[in-house]
Amino acid sequence: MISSEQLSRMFVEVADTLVDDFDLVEFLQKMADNAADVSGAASVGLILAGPGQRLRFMAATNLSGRKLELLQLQNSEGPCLDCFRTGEPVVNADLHEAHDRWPKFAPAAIEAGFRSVHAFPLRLRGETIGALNLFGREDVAFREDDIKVVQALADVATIAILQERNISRSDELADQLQVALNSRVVIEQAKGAMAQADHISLDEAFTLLRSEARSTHQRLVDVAQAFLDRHQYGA
Amino acid sequence: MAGGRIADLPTPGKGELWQLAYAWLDREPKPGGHELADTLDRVCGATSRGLGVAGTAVTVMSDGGHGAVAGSSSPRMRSLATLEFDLGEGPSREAFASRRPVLVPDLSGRAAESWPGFAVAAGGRGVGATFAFPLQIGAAALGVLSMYADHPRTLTSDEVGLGSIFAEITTEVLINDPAPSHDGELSSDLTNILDLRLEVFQAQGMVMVALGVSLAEALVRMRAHAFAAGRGLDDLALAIVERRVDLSAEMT
Repeated sequence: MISSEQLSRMFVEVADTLVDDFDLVEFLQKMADNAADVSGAASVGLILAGPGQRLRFMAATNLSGRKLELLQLQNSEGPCLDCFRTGEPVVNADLHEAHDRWPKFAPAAIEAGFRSVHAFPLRLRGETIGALNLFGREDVAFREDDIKVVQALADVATIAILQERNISRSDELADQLQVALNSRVVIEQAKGAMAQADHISLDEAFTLLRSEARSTHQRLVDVAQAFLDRHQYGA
Repeated sequence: MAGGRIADLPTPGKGELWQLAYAWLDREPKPGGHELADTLDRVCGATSRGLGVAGTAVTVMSDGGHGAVAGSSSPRMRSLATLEFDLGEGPSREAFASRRPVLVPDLSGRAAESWPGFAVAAGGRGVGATFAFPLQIGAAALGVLSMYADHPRTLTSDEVGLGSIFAEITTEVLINDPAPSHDGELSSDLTNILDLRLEVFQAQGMVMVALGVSLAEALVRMRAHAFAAGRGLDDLALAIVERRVDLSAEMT
């Protein structure tokens, strides 16, 4: 259950992030962390829809979260996809009772030690642009109030994704999503480049990129881009 | 019970717009040759018909910001794309520099202020609207897919999606080219793998630094290596990320 203290801290953080020089990828990462905190979920993952409605991984609290998102995308089934498809949340789904619903995803998620799953749509004016997934090791049952808070988080994430420019025309939405997805790729490339250049792990590289972004007040994607520019050779 | 519903779900690489893009490609006459330019011409033709524009051109950018037209749906489109890069200004250059699509529904509107030289020159050649999509994989920017329409017009959200997909297909063709298996046919392997595997991008960054090449070249090397070794790109990327591949010894 969510405490009012958690709630206010979270929304202060959200308000802090929604400024002019806003860092989308960092924000979505925090969003996933927040959703995990307030819900008690062991893993949280976030996917977005790219051109042609192809779903792509965007952020996760940990490796398990990423693997569970990947598992769904690879098998074309799972709570995230159901949620994206219907635009409705999937709440308090017990994986042990979900074999019929997700014959590939459910057993694999149980095998990985998970017990329950929840998915919340990222919606804008009736259009679903992605989904937020919460995975619990125990049966994390949400109360009605908690669901409202997590859906509010998902709604704020949607606004954040689209606020970089004022989306007044529908063509700009497709454009904006593409830019968001590309930012994610730039950061992964920079993680690899830094890990190789400095003989460190990918996680360490990510931590360094994030702290540089924070200490220099730059967007994570800009720090990543600058690092790549410094290390890129040839045409 | 839920089986039927799941079958209807959008799957990676199989969204409606992707199917539409491949349907347009299928309708396009097969190229006479198997050269890269032939394949790019075919993608340009499909893009033009798919979006209902007068024509399309692919410009590949070099390190110093010089563009070379690598494919087009007609000689007129080739000269329009060349024009923009000769002038040193225009929506395609901006799309490349800003790494985002630049949509100009009316060349006599905002465009005339942003790129006065281009607006006049292209307007004089009968262009009413232009749409430019960057060819990129993360920070690896290869060039631009530029579409030109004879009259002012906007793109719908689906058309922007379709334009992005044709840009992704073009990127794939450019990255794919050195692979020995390339026979002028288009595959969706790369875009599918890229959707699912962040390790490919991480490995790309690692190979870039290890070999001292560009990001685009790093991906080309990875593809060639995976092909030669008879393994999947995703499998190779995982091995690279887990540092099970001696990059300087095996990838050069």
